Amino acid sequence: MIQCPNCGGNLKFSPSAQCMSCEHCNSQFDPYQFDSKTKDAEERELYDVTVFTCPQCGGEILSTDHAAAGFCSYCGASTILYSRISKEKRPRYVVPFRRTKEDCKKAYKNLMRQAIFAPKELKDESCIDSFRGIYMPYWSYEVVQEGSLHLLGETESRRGDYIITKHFSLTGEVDSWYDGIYYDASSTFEDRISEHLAPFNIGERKDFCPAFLSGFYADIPDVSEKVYENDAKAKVWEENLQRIRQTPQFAACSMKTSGAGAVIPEVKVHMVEETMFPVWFMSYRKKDRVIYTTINGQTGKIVADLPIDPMKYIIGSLFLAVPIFFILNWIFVLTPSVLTVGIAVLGLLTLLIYGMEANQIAKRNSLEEDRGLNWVNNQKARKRIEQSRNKTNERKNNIQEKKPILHTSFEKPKVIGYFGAVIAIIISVLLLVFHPVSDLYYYGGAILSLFAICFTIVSIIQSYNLLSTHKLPQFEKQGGDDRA
Amino acid sequence: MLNIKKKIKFLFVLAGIIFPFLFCKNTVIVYATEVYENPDTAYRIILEDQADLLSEKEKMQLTEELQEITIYGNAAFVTITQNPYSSTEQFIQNYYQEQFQWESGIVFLIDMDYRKIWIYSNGRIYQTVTKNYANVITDNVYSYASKRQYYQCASKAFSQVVTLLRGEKIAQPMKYICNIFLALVLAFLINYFIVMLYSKSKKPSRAEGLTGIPMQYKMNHPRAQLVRETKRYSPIRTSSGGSGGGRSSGGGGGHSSGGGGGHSF
Repeated sequence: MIQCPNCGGNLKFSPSAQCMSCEHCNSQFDPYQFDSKTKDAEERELYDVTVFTCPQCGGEILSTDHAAAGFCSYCGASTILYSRISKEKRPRYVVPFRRTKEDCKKAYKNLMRQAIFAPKELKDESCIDSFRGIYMPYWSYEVVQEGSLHLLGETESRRGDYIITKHFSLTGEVDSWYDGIYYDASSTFEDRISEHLAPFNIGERKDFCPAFLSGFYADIPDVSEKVYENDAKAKVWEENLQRIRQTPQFAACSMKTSGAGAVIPEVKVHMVEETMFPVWFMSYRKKDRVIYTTINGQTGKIVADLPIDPMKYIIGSLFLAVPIFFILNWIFVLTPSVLTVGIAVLGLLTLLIYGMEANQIAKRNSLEEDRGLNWVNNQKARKRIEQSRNKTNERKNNIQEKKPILHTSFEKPKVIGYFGAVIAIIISVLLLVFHPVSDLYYYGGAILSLFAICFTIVSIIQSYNLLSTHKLPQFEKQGGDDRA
Repeated sequence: MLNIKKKIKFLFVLAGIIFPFLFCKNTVIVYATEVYENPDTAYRIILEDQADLLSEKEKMQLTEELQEITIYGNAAFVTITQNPYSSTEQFIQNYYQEQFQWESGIVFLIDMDYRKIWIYSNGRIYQTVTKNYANVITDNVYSYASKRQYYQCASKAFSQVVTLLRGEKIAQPMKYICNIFLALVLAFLINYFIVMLYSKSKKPSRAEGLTGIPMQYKMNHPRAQLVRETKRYSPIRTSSGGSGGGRSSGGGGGHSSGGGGGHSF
């Protein structure tokens, strides 16, 4: 805790004033005033923090405040977190919070107002109050591409019965640098969420000092800076290529970036720095799943995959059916057999949607695209194998029994929702083949198909709800920075 | 040898039996029975009960009921036991052409061969009793045909035609029931897309993702130097097939093509 020099009260960083503010006497101070002036070598590298560990999931967050934290941001558990004093590696920069908790609540309430299909629990005040400001560690890469460029270009034009192709040699000197291409450095923070939270204005970053953390928490970086190096380079090349194409002298040509004679200056990472980015974090626990809502603490951009209440969805659909019915009446007179064909086509469409969503869900649930997390898991697994090799008395099968750091086992959607759409298609095909005389058969078939298609769509929604929420995390962190 | 001769003889006899039937299938001669002609409009009523589904009394009653239609066009009630065409629709179209050519009119057909009832109209009547209405009317009355109440079937159908021609409305349960089902299925799908649009978070574009990152880009001495020129033969294909021989199909008759709809029973 940082004490106010005037009254001894608790000083916290104020996002609105962008300085340290006393809760009691309202005095304001420069954050750097509280950074040790006479730093020794260790102090330049490390700083004192309290590490809070959740007894339920093992998740860890840091704070400069020693007061007990009452809930876990990762698993949503309301519990007193274990705390211990630790020394952590100092990040190079910090992007201070600009949005207050009140701004956050307002943004969240606005989102909830639009989200008419979201479960009502998410609109609960106690849930909204649980927003917690956390500085998330990011790697910021300074990337440079400079040197001679040589590309091949072509233009095509027609002259009578001939197509004339002009081949050009496109040359120039590229001089570009990007200071702060960023990727999140914490395996607990899903890559997808951090991507969606962008952009941050990294130009507002400041030299880190622990005072910025006062009143907030921080996550621990555990992903190597090497993991995203190639991604940063690729991003820069993609951006530069776009700009090269827009160069007036080259604009008329279609470009070839590969092939004989093409010379592209190497994209290099000059420097990697750890930067703390401000994120407001809310976790709502629902049975064995957690719903995360994150807000960019600098810009106020809100990122949330909101679950959908199936009942609200069905009621909403029934309301929507009314105007559609009137429009159809205005346009169509359908015979029962045409209706059957229509339902078969819509059943097929539903099946396609289900297939696409199920694939996406399986992919996202397995977290295979979370490069940071996969890297951490691989590192841990490698360490275990090495340890087990050293311990000759340890049985080999113990290695296989150990679980990964974060349980990311593939979880298939439980519902076999595609059955509904398949049944609708089968019913329609049977009706078209047997072609019964009475309309009642078609209407009966339409009712069954309607329920079957509804079942499939609700199944997709339930699967999406699985996707929008997260499995309860299970960390096996032993504390501290894995790089230290 | 004798056996072979016998077999050939048998085949000829068999062919002699089968061929008349085959030809017969495509050359059913329809003898129309004109029962009434409107003195003011000269539109006629034709009753053609080949399948013998109506009694004489029913035919007389139906003729009376059909008289109002002759204000607007011809009217025909036809029943058949054998349809030489591949569909009921084809038969009724040809029948209409034979009987009324391009005049305004309406035909109600009970096809006992394909077990279908069909309404076909043309001219002024078709402007009111459209294909959609033909489908609605046949759907409203097919159950009578299923119960072998052919007079009721025809009577109800023509009565609904008259109602429409008078400018009044008829019940359209099929239209509403079918549209309710389709509207519900469409609503479930459309609402799904709406819900997903508002529930899923969106990834920023590449350009958005780079906003706020201090950067510098310069392209010094850009130069596009022509190295060589190649040409490829690619004749221009004209899409028109030349001007010779073009002939318009002409607009003989100036009539609206008719249409109709039907239902199985």
